[in-house]
Amino acid sequence: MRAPRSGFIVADDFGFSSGLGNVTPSRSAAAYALLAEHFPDTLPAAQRSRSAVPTGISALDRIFPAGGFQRGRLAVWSPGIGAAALLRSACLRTVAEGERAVWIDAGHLVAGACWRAGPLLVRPRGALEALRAAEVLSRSGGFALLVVDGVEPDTGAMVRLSRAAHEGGTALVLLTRVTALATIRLASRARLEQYGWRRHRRGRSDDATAVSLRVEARASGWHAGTDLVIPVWRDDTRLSLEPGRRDRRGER
Amino acid sequence: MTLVCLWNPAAGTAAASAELAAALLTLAPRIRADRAGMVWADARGLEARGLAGGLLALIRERGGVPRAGISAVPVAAEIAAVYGSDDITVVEQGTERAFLAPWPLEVLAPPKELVPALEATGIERCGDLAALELGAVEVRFGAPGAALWRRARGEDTAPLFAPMARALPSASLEWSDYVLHDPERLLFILNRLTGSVSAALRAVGQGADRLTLVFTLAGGGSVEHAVQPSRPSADGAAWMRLLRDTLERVRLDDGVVGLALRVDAVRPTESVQGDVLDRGFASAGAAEAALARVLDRDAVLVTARNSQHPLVRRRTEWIEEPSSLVWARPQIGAGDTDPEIVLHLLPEPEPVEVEATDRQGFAVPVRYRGAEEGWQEIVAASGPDCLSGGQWDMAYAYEAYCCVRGDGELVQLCRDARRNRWEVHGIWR
Repeated sequence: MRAPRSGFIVADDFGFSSGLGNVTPSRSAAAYALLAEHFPDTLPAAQRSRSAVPTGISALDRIFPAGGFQRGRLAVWSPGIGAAALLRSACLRTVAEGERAVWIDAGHLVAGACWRAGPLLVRPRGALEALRAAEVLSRSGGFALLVVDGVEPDTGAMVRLSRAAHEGGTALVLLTRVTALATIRLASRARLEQYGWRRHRRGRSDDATAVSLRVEARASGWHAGTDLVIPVWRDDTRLSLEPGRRDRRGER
Repeated sequence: MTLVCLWNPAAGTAAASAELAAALLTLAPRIRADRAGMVWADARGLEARGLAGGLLALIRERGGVPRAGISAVPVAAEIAAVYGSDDITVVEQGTERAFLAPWPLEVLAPPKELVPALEATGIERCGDLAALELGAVEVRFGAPGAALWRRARGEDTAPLFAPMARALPSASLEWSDYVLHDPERLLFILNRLTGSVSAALRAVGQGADRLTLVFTLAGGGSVEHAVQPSRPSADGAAWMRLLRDTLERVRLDDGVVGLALRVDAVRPTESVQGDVLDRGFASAGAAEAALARVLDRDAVLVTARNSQHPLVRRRTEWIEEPSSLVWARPQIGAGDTDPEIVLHLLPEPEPVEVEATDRQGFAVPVRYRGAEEGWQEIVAASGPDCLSGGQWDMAYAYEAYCCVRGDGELVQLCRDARRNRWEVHGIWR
């Protein structure tokens, strides 16, 4: 290994082993110590590069090749039940970890009553503005996770977005059916037969309380899936007669 | 702030004091006529004793017999002027309490109801009162006593003069030899003006909240265009983006012989305390700048303010936020990150055709068809939630169902009872 010129070099986990012969784990620790002593600014590449952005749902993270959304990469999630819920959860998890997440709501679909504060919620004026905003924000490098909901970009736009994500190191996820240039493609499918229901004795149909999903991830040379159960939000204030009081009529 | 209090018993009325104050404005930048015989001058940044001497001379010329008190604390300056033995009495900063201590309490003009109580407790001089603890004074003499205690200690900080507004920066350029029609050349000049104004604002830590671009036309007259960035900023590059957009839209009737850029409103720029444990701190500046670009023309950044309105659609007021929101560190609990299938509302309710069956007097949907899709079978329709209320044009009456479709999707189907039609209001995602 050549001595560093600037005082900072990067060696991968076993990159320096070629100069030291075969390295066993115990010897590698000693080698690391030796390296740290002689080159205090050296960092193994595995420590230098930041990890992926996990969704925070372990069953879901396991089906990603990198354990989460890869930074600097474009991912697409086909719109379907559960996709927005899982991405929203990933955004919250990102913010909870001290990083920044932004949700671009191009379709103006987010209902304020169901939105949890944390990720930045951007409402563009139209589809084109949504794509432009996604490009600018991705390229800035200030956001770990960026989700765009409600646009169907063409291939040219996908190229721009992919490049912007790469330059900014942002994990960019599009909720779209267009899959061109995506490094990973996700889809969620409902498993109706395994939905959770709250049974009513008479006079009223059963309420769906939980949704069962099959989530599948596909990348180059990669295909994995998992099953998830997600609760369904109920509007507790829908019949309230007084502000701040939950409606409990009909409950046993 | 250094204050000069002028006491002139010869000016026996408030009107005479006001008249005198007008004359004194030739010497002092700010004058205030407080009550009969008393005039205040703002000596901030001036040589106070010299100013007081000049003011006294001017009053004497008008037949007065004045005295002056100089102090940073109004009550000390007032007592020095009214009760001082010299023409000019100066109370140095930090010695106000010691100056006031020997004076009897009457000089502070205590409220009449307090006088017997103060006499009964043997408090005669300002120093006696100032030596007590605030708590003890408050318990015995109430709020008026506490206010008197502060004056006796020389802690009277009520501002006599409001802070002076700083002149907002502006830059302009005029030319008479030629007339410009070319936007590119105007842009070049504008760039220089922007740099100058931006530097002036940055020097005082402020950002422009609103700018005005003024074109002076060759045929006379001028045209103004206001520009409002999404956040207060002193960043010339950010302004140039907006100004370029403005310049592209502007249509002028004549050539331009002058250009001016004026800042109309400013706000302090955000200065945020760093946190070494904040993983996003290092990139917050870049995030804010990028977000500001987006908010300038493409989008709005919003937060939700929810009420208790029964209709989800009317429950939320979206509040526009500035790009500086990126510096906020929201607290998110462990349970807050759990996923949940929640209702997403269509921008507008979408009318649909519904086939329904009767259940206890309600029409319950069994399948529906939208304008652009085929029939969707409904496996289960829970409800209805009968939602009604509002007045006049805001009145509403819905029977809302949470329907599970055959493909597993959950949709909110509502029967508008007032118009007797079915609509899809939202979808759980």
